[in-house]
Amino acid sequence: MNRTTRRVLRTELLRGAAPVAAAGVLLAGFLIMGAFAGDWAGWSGRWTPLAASVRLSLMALGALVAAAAAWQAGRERRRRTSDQIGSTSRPGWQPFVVGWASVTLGSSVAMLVVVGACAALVAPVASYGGGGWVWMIVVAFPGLAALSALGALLGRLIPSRLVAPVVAVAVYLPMVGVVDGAGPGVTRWLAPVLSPYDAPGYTIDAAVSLAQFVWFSAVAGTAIMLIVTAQRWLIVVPAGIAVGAAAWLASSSPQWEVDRAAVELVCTEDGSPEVCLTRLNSFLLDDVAPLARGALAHWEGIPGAPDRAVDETAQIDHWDAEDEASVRLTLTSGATLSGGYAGSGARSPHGWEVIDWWPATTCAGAVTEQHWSLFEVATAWGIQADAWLEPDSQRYLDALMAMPAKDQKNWMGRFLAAAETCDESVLATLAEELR
Amino acid sequence: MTSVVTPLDPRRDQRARSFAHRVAPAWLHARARGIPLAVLGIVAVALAAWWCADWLVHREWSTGADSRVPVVAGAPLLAVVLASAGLGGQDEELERSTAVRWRVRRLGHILGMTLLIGCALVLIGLWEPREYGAFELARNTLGFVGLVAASAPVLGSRLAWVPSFAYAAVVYLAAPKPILTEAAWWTWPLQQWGADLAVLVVVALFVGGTALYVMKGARPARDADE
Repeated sequence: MNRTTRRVLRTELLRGAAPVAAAGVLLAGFLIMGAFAGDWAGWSGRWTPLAASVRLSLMALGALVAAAAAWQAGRERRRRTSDQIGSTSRPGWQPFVVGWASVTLGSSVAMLVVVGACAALVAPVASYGGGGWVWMIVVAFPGLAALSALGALLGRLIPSRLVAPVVAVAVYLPMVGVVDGAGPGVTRWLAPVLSPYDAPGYTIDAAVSLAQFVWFSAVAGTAIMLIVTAQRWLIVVPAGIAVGAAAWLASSSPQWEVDRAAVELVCTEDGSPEVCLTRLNSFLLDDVAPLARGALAHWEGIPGAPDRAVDETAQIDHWDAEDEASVRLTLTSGATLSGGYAGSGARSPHGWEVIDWWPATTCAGAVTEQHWSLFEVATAWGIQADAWLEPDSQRYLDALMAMPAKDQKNWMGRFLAAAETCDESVLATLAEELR
Repeated sequence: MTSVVTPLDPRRDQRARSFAHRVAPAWLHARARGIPLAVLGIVAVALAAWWCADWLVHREWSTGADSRVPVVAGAPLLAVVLASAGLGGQDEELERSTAVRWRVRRLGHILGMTLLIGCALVLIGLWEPREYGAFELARNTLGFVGLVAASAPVLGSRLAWVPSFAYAAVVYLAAPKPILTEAAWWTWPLQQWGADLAVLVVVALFVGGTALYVMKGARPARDADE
């Protein structure tokens, strides 16, 4: 890049659509990432969900950048300076490429600032650093460049005042569909967005990220070449690479894969009732252990009652009989940016259930169905959460809670034993006691 | 005996001239503002929204009426974005120098745009009007019209769509899930009809935006038009 090009690029960065695009990315990026931080599958303290959240934010950021690029590409036509610029010795493609580069560079720098600020919050508290999250974030940048190039191409080719808003909506809505699971499976991997709801405990193969990187770069290259080159056959090169990468992604059917290291259990070792969290969530152990132990204390003295709490995220890889009888902890929401846990009861601050448990039983489905109210009552008593219950179950629960504490525990002990052996006559008696 | 009216009949000629006097300028004005194209676009958006809403609700893993949230937020936004280009003229400063009651005409623009988009979208949402259907589509139409009307005096008609789009794009992603009625003051495009706060915010946006646009008009564009 020579001095003149640098000067022109600097001018475009300061006076073109780039500063507006960059400001939009900064503002929208911080708002979106702030909202995702502690929400379901939030990125507080976790790298892979951070990477997936950055990719999901491209739904809005990419649409804004594509619209800005379309607006920038139509500037010469709007200002009626095309002929004037065309009369100079400067090649006609240069203003187009410099305009696209300025919007892409400005918005990429703004996104880097957003990612950097979020990473600075995750780094001090994260308990697991693996999972190839870096590559997921890296792919976001060619993804942004590809959307920007497509916007610039349409802005250059279509002389309409509506091209920028239509580009914005046309980029945004299909990505809503991709995240929502609409359309063929391969579209998930040809769009730059990723759903963070898939991220906790999972990872994406580095080869998939590499193929996406090549795909988005080639799409950007093809869009730019369509305008800049007079020799049309040259377009075959980036277009061929794009088709090859897309074909590989389509044929290899990529999936989120279980990250075994992330879901290994890390347990408390201080003798009290054991609380085990996955390595991914273990930064919450100090805050969650008292909460889980408080729930386990409720069961004290009941034979066969759970005496261990386990992070439910571990279930995606392994879940043995011991875990089945444990209290389950759902920690995908509620983590704070400082690495603590914001919840104090059975529900997270966002209203999601944190503590869950279901009686272990050998009963067949039909029998469980018949005594469903008892199972619901036992769960509601065990997790002490205000949950909506069927009217029958609510009546039973009210009757159980009206008993003295000792009788409640006695009833629960007999229920656990009957559920485990599926003793239908005892289950019927227990129901009778609550009528 | 029946009278024969010839082309030279002075009464007919007067009527025709009166019609032409009233309608032709209005048609020219509408065409200059790109309204015929916008109307076609709005009809296309309504049909596409109808198809999408039907597909979203009837697909295999549908969660019911909730599945229509993207349509309820997206269709009014897209329709208003298409119509927003007509809020300003080719040469706003030149237009303002003419002896026309621009405030009345601006009010007509806003009301006409709201009615047209509202009617087109309400028609497609009548099956379950109170569960992400006609009521929410009408409410969001008012809200987005208010937003573009408020933006036009600041950014001009060509960029009046930007705040509405950016707002909807961010809110759709950032709104707490499940959608809480306590957050209705800023998540109004995603709320169910029962959220009174969402309706209040939308009415305030519509009244405020309309008043601002009627008083000030769209900011004159710096660039030539396409």
